[in-house]
Amino acid sequence: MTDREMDRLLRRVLLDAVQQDSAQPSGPDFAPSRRHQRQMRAMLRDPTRWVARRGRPVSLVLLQRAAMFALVTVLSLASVVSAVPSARAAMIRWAEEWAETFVIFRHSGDDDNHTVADYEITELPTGFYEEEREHLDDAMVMVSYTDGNGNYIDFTYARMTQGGATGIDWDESEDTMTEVTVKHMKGGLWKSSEEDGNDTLTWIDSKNDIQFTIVDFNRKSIDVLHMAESVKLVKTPN
Amino acid sequence: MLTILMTMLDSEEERRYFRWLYQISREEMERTAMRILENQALAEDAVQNACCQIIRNFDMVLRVPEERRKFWCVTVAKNEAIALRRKSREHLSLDEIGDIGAVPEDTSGYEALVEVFARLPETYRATLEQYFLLELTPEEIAQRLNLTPAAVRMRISRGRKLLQELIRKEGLYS
Repeated sequence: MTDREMDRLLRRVLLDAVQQDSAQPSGPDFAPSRRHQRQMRAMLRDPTRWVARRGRPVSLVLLQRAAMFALVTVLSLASVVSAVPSARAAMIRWAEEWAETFVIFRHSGDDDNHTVADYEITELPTGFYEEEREHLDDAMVMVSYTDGNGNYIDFTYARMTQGGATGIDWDESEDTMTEVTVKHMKGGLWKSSEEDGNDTLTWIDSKNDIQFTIVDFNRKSIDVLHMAESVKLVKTPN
Repeated sequence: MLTILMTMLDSEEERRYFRWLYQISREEMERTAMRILENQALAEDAVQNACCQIIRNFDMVLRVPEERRKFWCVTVAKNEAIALRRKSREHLSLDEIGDIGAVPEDTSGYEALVEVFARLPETYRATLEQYFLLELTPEEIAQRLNLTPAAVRMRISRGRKLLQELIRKEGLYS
């Protein structure tokens, strides 16, 4: 048997071993979130476009979720981090890391274990309503707004605690970033130049140690900065 | 980037085929990711990452024999889940460092050969899958699995040797 035939056989054996895995006991049930279902629908509608656009909200989930594990996807990006203008200071609980296609806000500081409060966007584009509010854990909440016609605005906020992070994918060739303030709080606005792109606005409330992010897939009628200004506390934790 | 992607699934026929492939593989991909990660949000990320890889590497899918394409997709999801899990760990556990071991005495025929590979320690198997099925380089595999490139090459070499020994022992394909 030649090396080439041997490698072909090995490929077949490996695939058949994967098939055999299906007989293994299952783990917990896979119960897809609405967000995942939405992503999959978009993928099936236009796979190529979905790949090109995917990343922004998913990365937010991934990086913040990593707080529940020891540490973090961002470590794998260390090799591509081109500049690290650290914003860390004694009173600041985050550090920005800029990679070629990624900005990461790494959180630090003690976790006081209190549940993050409920916030909402009070000025939404006409016809939009809150579809889903998901408390991923005590430190992070994701809210989806929709107009019922497949247009979405995602609002995410997370208490800044050790090991947590929020990531924003961006493409220098397509996106522009502008420093902004939201109610006197420091933030950044990433705007896509693509017609069907989205805008991402993140800002940090240092007083309450919370990072807010809005991803606007709609970009109609109300500017994302205006929506951010309208964010209000609606319920304090028990 | 978009220009490159457009060449991957550039006909309606390929897009239709991708949709069909996803439908028949979806459940197994989700189940596999959940079994490895035991976390809904991370399993969703693994499945979405896998779909990205499948779309980006659709030419690779078409090189896999048709009856095994579903399991190629599951392999992608499995390895995305393993990569996500390993990135969250600082140290390897001992069972994953374990050696490939000697050729078992009780092998018999092709099915037993498959069984031997199915029972390999996780990093060995993941290395072989990523090299032979997903066509990643040893350096890329090393980064994904928190191994050194030398350790990856060693696992590839030992995997080939194991197959050779099993074939010799069984007198298969002589």
